[in-house]
Amino acid sequence: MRCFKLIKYDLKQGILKNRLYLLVPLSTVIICNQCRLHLAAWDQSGTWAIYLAYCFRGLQRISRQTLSGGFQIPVFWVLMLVLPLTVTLDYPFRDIKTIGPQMLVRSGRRVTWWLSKCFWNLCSTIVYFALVLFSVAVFCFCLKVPISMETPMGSMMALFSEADITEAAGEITAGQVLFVFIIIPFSAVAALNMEEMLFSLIFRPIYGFLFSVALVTAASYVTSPFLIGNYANVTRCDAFIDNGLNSQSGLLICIGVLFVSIAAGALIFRSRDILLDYKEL
Amino acid sequence: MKRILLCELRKMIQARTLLWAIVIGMAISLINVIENYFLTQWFYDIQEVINTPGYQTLSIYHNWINGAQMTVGETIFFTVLPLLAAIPFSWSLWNEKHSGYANQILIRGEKKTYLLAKFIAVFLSGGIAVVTAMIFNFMANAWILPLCNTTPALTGSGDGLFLSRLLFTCPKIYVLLCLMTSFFWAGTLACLGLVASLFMRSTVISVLFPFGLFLGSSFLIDGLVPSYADAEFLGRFETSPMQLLHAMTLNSNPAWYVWTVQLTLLTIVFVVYYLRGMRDEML
Repeated sequence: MRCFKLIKYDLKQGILKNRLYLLVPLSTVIICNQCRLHLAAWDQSGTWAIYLAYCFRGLQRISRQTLSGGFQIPVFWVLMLVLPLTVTLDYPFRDIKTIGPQMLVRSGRRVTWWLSKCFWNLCSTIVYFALVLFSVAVFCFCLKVPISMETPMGSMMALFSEADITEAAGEITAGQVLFVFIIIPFSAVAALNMEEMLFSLIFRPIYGFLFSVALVTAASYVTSPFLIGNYANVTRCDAFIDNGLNSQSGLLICIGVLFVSIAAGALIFRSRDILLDYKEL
Repeated sequence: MKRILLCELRKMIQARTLLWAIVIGMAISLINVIENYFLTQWFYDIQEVINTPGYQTLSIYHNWINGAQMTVGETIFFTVLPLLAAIPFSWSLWNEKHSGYANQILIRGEKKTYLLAKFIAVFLSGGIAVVTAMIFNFMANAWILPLCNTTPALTGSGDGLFLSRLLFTCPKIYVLLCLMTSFFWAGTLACLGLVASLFMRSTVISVLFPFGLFLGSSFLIDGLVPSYADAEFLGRFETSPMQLLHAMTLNSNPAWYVWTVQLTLLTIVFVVYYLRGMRDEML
């Protein structure tokens, strides 16, 4: 019962009262508009799945040899990953500086507090994704774009124009769309969020954020199975790209990172001095 | 003024966050050094096969962090630069305001003096954190890369880019001016965090503000002005704030343009800070 109350409180304070969520539909609509222009240049109209994929379209696999001119960071993709990191950054550590110690005493166990925050973190990621999916659907509805999971080959070619797209790309099923465009990016974002919360606990929130942004930026450049940001980049997925990253193993790695972060956080939080000196940052 | 400025500078130098920002900046810039080490190994390997003349490919002037355009270290460093600049001391006004310390100073001295001293200290803190990491990067790269002149074909620099003539004629002065420009950028970004702390309820969010503003405005420019590359004016100049932090960009960034943008931004930041700071009797 105590745990349930704690979770209810976290969901209310950390999600319902978090005004940063307002940025999510705004950013998504701007990206969708960019996608509309991109598809129009290729004489394509796209579908809901195509617009969604565009939101998580990073850069193709790159190397120093393949780059000409210079490397420019994929701002849209970075923003789609940094936004959930920002939304989930401040609340747990603001809570522990204010009402947190009271909650800890009343909940009876320190681990309960941490698990409640982990649950809130996961719910925040779900809300973030729900907002993205809903915003894309509203955008498509307004432009009379079919709200379907079909991926026409022409639109896929337009979407991944720079990458080595396979012939199977135009025939992927609704289940694959769900897995590659929603579940894999969701698990990667959830793992990144949890990792950020763990680093924020070990160091301070701002350093946790800095570390996570550095990981996301590195993932935009380096194609490595250990940089989990890569799994939120649909342009590097093996479902329709030659030599892409394996999405099944990606899902396992993300879930592994998620659980390791929760377990490590619980262990650290048990012996952590929560009345930390917050004179600086 | 002198006393309060010295007091603020002492607090800034003693802040552990300044040390942390420098250490993190150095660690990130070290990635660039490691990449350059592998570049030298690759160069010596192919030299054995095709006997390339000269060492210009390895020149430090287009491989150190402010000259490279295609390394992970450089990409991460310039992406997190707004954070590195804001972490050292931009939070201090927020803390002093909420602990009541600022008001104690205000009843003993002039508010204008306090605000000005704080602005200078924050500006210097951002600049010191970022430029120390850059100097470290240049010195570390100097261990493995030759200090020879570079050529236009090997760099992304050319006509219309930041001090491109100096890069090929007086590269040492070019490096010095790059460091000064980065110092100015970092100082301005740190002051942006300071201004945000006057408006925000959370110190963490105010420190994130410069990063959010730069990423957000780059996002808006890319998203809302999709055909900017075709436009007559915008196509000629680099408009993305995240890209403008680099010395070398894909679009044109002549020195006068970069310095004008910097000066305009700093002026706006200072005016907003001063007006908001002076508005109420107490902070």
